[in-house]
Order: sequence, then structure tokens, then C-alpha cells
Amino acid sequence: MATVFIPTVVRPRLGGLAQLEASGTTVGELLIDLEARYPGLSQFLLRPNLAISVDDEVTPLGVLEPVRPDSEVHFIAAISGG
Amino acid sequence: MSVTTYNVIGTRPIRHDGADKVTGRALYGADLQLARMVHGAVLRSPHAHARILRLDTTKAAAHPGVFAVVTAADFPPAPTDKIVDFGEGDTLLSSLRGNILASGKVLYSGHAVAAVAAVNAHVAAEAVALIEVDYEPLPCVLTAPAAMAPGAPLLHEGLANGNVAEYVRHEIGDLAAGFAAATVIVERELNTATVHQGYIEPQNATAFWSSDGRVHIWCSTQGSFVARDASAAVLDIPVSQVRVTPMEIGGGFGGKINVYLEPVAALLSKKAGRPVKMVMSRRDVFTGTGPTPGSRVRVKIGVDAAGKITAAQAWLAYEAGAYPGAMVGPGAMTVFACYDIENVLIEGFDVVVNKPSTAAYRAPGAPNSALATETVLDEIAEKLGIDPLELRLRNAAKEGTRRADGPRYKRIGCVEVIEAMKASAHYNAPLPGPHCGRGVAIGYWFNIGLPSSATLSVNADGTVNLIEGSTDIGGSRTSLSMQGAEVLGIRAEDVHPTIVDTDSVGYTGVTGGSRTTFATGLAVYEAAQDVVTQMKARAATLWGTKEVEFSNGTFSSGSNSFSFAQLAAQLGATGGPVVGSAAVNPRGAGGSIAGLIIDLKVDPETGKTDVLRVTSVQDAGKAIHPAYVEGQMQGGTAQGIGWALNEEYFMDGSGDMRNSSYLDYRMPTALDLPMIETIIVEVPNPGHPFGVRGVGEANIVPPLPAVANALYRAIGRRLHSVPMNPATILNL
Repeated sequence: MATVFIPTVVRPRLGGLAQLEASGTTVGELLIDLEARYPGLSQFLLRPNLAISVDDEVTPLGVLEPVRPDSEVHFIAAISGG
Repeated sequence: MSVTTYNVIGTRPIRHDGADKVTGRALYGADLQLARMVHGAVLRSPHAHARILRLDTTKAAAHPGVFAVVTAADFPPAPTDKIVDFGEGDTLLSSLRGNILASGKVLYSGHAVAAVAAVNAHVAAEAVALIEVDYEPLPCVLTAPAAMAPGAPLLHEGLANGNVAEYVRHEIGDLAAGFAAATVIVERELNTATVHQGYIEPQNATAFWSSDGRVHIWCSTQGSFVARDASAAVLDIPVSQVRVTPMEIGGGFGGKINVYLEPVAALLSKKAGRPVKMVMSRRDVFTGTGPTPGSRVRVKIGVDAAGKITAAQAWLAYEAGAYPGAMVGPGAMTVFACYDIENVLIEGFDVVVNKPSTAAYRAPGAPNSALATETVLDEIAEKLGIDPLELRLRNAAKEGTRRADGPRYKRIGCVEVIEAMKASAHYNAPLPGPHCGRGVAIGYWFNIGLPSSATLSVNADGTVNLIEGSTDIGGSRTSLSMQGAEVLGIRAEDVHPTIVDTDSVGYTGVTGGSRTTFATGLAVYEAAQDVVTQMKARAATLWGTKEVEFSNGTFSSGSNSFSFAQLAAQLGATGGPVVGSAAVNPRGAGGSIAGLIIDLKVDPETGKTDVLRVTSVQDAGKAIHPAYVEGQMQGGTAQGIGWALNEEYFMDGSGDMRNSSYLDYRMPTALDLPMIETIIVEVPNPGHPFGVRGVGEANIVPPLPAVANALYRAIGRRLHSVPMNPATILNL
């Protein structure tokens, strides 16, 4: 099961949970798994200006990014730069 | 440290665009002349916050020599929830369009209200003066704390919380336990003023809306594809109907990613039936484009007797300007990014105020937050009697360190940068005399990937033409050509780079986020590999073999060998042209750590600060062209010193900027600074074949706190707001 880290501002919607275990082979499948248990959660994770990090690397593939059973998934502020 | 030996990388060839730049042949947007071209001008709001009661353009439209007038009413209706993608930064279409031409309300002094196209710029200015606007002035708010206060005038309806557009929060560990374990705790609040990127060339755009429905835009932009996509969104036409030609760019530093004039010039052209050229004045640039946010940052850090940080807390409020997007996200992510800390709480607020809508500026958001962290650490080092660099070294982030926002670092050079600072001649030299102080600080920037495309075509004389789409701000033509040359085993001078329009190359992201030498460089590397593969096949055909080796520019098989140039001469007889292409969207950009050592002297009579000696240290991964890396380090350092000592938007109580010229907006010149010494640290980035890390941004992070720390040692008192100018010092 991959580990999905919940952004701090979203944790109150999950009773304070900081991370969740989820099954799937892509980020999208993890979210489908979580959505079944926590309806509406995805809308707080898939937002403009949030990037998806898998195993400490921001992925250009987004929800299509493959994950392993021991992967870590974070939703972090998208960085642009100057 | 990097040990691989290269033939081209690491050398210092003359830049490919050098002759054109120094002889004045390079064409900037203001140089553009097109047949039947007319000229645009913009009417801007004199109020920082006002309702538009009446907007009448009748007299302007009737003025002799006027071809077109546009207002926000000429834009197609904007869906309130449509997002415009700027790569890894998005914005609401309604905000983007509202900033380009105001509708209903003006939200800052300088907000564009209407535009005119006329036979020349003078007639356009006359016509602008004939536009009649009735305003109902509204109370304005100019700082984040004021905008967050109960009862503050609201800029927009429907934001998350009054004038707070977004709240960010990062939390790890047990903050209370961490502070309980501390021997020394210091908490301070630091303020920064609104400052501008200060590029020399003003924004400009020329547009021609052809009768076939296609729009061609020539402009000064950091990203031709972003300008294309944003303009298409604002105009509500397909991206394929817009072609953007990037002209040479006279600086950007993040401020030339957004669009301001491009859609307006296009609308004027559509009405006028002619090309329309628009060039901003310096006041337009200051008041009508995007500066970087002013901010208030509160930082509390606890350290145990051994010098280990046990807990850290930050509260950040950044001024977004008129529309959301204050870069508080990266500010929050970088506030403690240089350090390995187990217990952290960070809260950030994106706050709209009646100032120009902010834009990126080198490592956007990071200097503001580093100012607080690095001055608090300096104070703690003094209390504990620990060398300030040693304190940083004991807490430096390393590979595997988890940031408060979640991810862990890949390989980074924080320890190596601090050690290079400690070992430098500068840090070990004595100060020259009284009223002098030395300050140090470090800072971090992420760097980014994003898509890039490149094409290499081989010429019969053994040279190669490079077609790419990255605007060249800091010498990227050369840093990209060098990467292609390294792969092909030819000279950098034998690669001829051309930056083309959006119809002529694959999608390429902005020149920003310190990504160009990394990401477009990777595209060039891959395109060159494609060329090598095709050339090996040609050699195999010539020699009647299947096995061809390629090394150091030589193709060989058994006793046969060709140099790259010799084989290039044979292409016509072996199947025709060889063209290599690549499109990439890389991960693994590799963040960069920068450090600064600065010596200052303060005149106790006048409060004037003289910069005596400066050393910039930065992890470049692998410096492709060391002179350009040094240039980036020196440029970012100079800008950071100006930000720290003198620069600010000086606003009156009504929200009008009173120093909107380079006479009054005090940027440092060559007369104000000594030669900035540089130390390039090379901790290769595993995400790039040559180990490249972007170097355009991290260097602006440490100057603010390093200056603050040096001033403290020079005058014996700590200042808590930048700019730390003579008046501030004398009023202590």
C-alpha cells in the first residue's frame, strides 16, 4: 500500500489524519481508492497550483504517475520561479 | 565534487549573440517596425481603489488619427472559474483579464482602464487624455496586516476569508516538545517592502490580427508559449490561432512571464486592421506590471546547547497585490528549507491589497522568508557563542532530510556550500576597521523542469544548427549549444543557435525557475544523441558494417574513422539531411543552495552604508559555462543587496507610487558595489546527464539576511525591516 500524505490544511476534513494508506498502481488509482473511503477528498487534493510529488520528485505525469507499494505521495505547492 | 572531464562543458566560449548585442544589431521589441503599423497607449487609474461609474471613450474614438479604442467590454465574457496554465503556476482567467483591463472597479493606482491605437504615440497619448472616467473612490489597504484586520475594505467578493485568498500550512513533529527541549529561543518579526525586478527594457508588444483570423504577437517575454496560451485564453481563441515571436529581452527576472500588453495590442489590431505596437513607460512598468510582494514574516526558532535546532515556527503574510497569487506557497516551503528540523509549524497567508498584482522575482517568496530565518539564527549563534556558519553546518539539510512540506531531498549541496563559505579567503580575512560588520546567510531554491523542445540539423561543413524556444536572458544560447557540442564532439562555436516563434518549435516552457540550462539543455542533449545515432547509421552504410563507435567527435569501425565534420560532408550521398529532435518534460531539476558573505561599513553621521566586500557561493551542480554561472550569482547578489539596502515602492497614503523612476527608485549601480567574488560549488545533480542545477535564483535569497546581519555587527542594533536605508539606520 502506498502512503498518501494529506496536506495540513485538508487534515481537519479527515479528523486530523496526516497520512493514509491506499492501493493502486498510479496516483489516480490511489485517489480512486481514497475517494471510495473519503468521498470528496480528491477535490481538495487535485487543485490548481498544487503539484504531485511521488517519492520526493514532482511528477510531470500527475495522476498518471506510476506508484509502488512503498511509494510516498505528497500534494505540494506548485513552484514556478522567476 | 564533480570529477568528469569534458571537452566543451566548463569552458568559457564567447556567447553566440555577443556581437549582435554589443553592436546594437540585436532586435528588441521597441525596434520592431511593420508596414502600416500604428501605436497604442493605455489609460491607467489614478486611484488605488475605486468603482468605475462611467467610462466614455466617444471623444477619444473621434480624435483625428485614432484607429481604435478598447476597454474591458471588448473582451469576450470570462468564465469565473476557468484556469490559465502558466506551467507550474496557474491563475484564474477572470483575474488575468481583470488585471489587463479593469472592469467595474480599479484595484490599484496604475490599473489599466482603456487603450487607444493611433497614428503615432503622441496622438495616442492625446486620445487617452480624452477618455472620460467617473470614479467613486473607495478606501484602500496597502499592507497585508492592514488588509487582514477586521473591517478592512474588501477588494473582491468571494475570497477564502476577507482579503485572504489562500491559507497554507505545513506541520511536522511536535512543536511544543521541540521548543521545550530548546536552550535558546528567539522570535522576531521581519518586514519587507514591495520591490520591482528592475529590468532595464520595459514591457512591449506588437500585434497584428490578420484578416484570416490569426494573431501574430512580437513581444519581450520569458516564455513565448506562455504568452501565446495566455493571450489566446484572454482573447478566447484557439492557441493555434496565435503565433508569438519572442524578441530579444532586456531582463525579466520573473517579471516578464505574465501578459499585460499582448492581448490589448491584439484587440486594438483587430479593430484597427493594422499592426499595433505598444511600449510601456518606466512609470507604466512600475505601476502597471508585477512587482514582488511586500511581506511580514514572524519566525521563532529553538536551539539546544549543542547548537541543534529543536523546533521552528513561522507565520508569513505576503501581499499579493490586487489579485491572488503572492508566492507565499514557495515562501512557506523555503522558510526552513536549508535545515534538518524535526518539529516545524509554518502558516502562510496570501493577502490581496491595493497595489499592482505581484509577479515572480528570482526565487519568488524565498528572500522574504529567509530574511527572518537567517537573522534569527544569527542572533541565536551569538547567544550560544557559536560561529554563525558552524551553527548552520550543524543543522544543514542533506540527502534524505524531510522538508516541512513533505518530500525528502535528493542529493543537495547545503553542507558543501557552507563549508566553502567557511574555507573562503573572505570569511577568514579581518574586517578593515571601525563601523564595519560582516554578515553571512544561506538560502535555497527548488528549480523546476517543465517541457522543452529542440532540433539540431547537421550542415555539410560539420556545423550544426540548433532551433529552440527558450528566451535567452542570461546566455542560454551558449549554455545550450555547449551541451550539444559536448555530445557531438564539436566546438561550441560550431553550433548555431536560433530562438524561434511558437509555430516553429515544439512547446517550450518559460525561461524561469532556473530551468533553461537544465531542461532545454536536456532536450538539446537528447537531440544530439539522436543526431549521433543517425550519423552512426550513415557511417555504417559507408563502411558496410553494422558496428560503429562514436567517441570524442570521431566515428570509427575497425580501421575506418571519420571526424564529425568528415562524416557530415558525406550526408548528401548517404540519404540526405540528418535532423535530430527531442521533446522532454523532465523531473529531477535539483535544487540549489546559495550562500553570501558580505562586509559593510556604516557612516555613523549619515547612516550611509558602503559595501566593502562580497562573496557569493552557490551549488551549480555542474557549471556548463562558469562565466555565466558567475554572472547569475553576481546579478542575483546585486539585486538582493539593492532590495536589502534601498529599494522600495514608496507609496503615499492614497496608494500612489511616488518614486516611479530610476532616479528615485534606488537600485544599486556599478558605482555602489565592489566586484562580487564568486565560488562555484559543484555537487552534481543526478537528474541531469551533466549534473546541471539551475543557478538563476537561489543567489538572491541570502543577500537580504546577510546584509541585515552585517549591519547589526556594524552598528550594534538589529533592524527588522528592509530596506535598511540611511534614514532607517539614523532613526534607530
